[in-house]
Amino acid sequence: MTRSSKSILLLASLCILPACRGSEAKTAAAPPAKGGAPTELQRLMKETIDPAADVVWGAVSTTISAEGMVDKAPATAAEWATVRSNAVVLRDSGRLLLTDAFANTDPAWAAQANALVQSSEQAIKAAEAKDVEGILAVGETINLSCAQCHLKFMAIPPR
Amino acid sequence: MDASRAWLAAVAVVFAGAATPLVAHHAFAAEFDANKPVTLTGAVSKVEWINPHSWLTIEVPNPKTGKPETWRIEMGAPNQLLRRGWTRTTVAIGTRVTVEGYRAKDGSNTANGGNITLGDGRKLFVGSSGTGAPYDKKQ
Repeated sequence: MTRSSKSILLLASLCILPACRGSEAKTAAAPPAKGGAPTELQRLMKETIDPAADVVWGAVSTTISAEGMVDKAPATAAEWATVRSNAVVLRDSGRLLLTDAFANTDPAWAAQANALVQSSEQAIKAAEAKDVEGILAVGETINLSCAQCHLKFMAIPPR
Repeated sequence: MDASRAWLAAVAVVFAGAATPLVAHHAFAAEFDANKPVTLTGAVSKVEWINPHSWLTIEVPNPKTGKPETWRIEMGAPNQLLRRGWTRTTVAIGTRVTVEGYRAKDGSNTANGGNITLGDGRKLFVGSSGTGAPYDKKQ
């Protein structure tokens, strides 16, 4: 898939998001969901949130070994744009977690989803500013929202 | 297909070709066993400063054979380590360290690091705060 076609699909997907909000309003009288549909939630995590987070996290790193120190960071406008677009996906995925399709009656769910939205917005700004340290810093807060939500809501399989 | 599913499908298509995850983000209990504490002493062969977890690789002599085995130690996010006094040059390659942590559930040579003691006696906490690790309760 070409970069332009990916961009078109991404834009199309983001245009659909307001429609999600519309459906949220229409179903407001329905009983609140209790964790959403697990399969859909796992798919959202595995196929959308996790890959997008990995791009943001993996954008900046330093590796020290016997071969020396290697710093990695986006170097071109296109590489920064990739980081930004994945941060946008994270933000909008956080918003999706707040809709009736996935929302949980436990207020901690909304708190962590909002934390993901806010930290992703920081990542978007850092990418727009080509701020290497900013991307490194916001990676921690993105992970914290993920880990704390998993800690509370993700069933840990028995050993 | 309702709107939310359409959104999900569209975004999934966009990122179907995204890079394979480097490391997973997770709560402590998803990967590590709080009932399997481990203490490892060995020489540092690699340090990776990357989100969501930094990694320390050490070569630990097998107690039976004496042959070195490679262990990977999961640590906190880079900025967590920086706030605790780590820098990128705190641990030089070849430095002998002792790591206190918890073994991975899958039995691999992987552990979640808590305290690391350097050769000069300095002790540094390297854990991932807020993930439900046993040391979270002590902080």
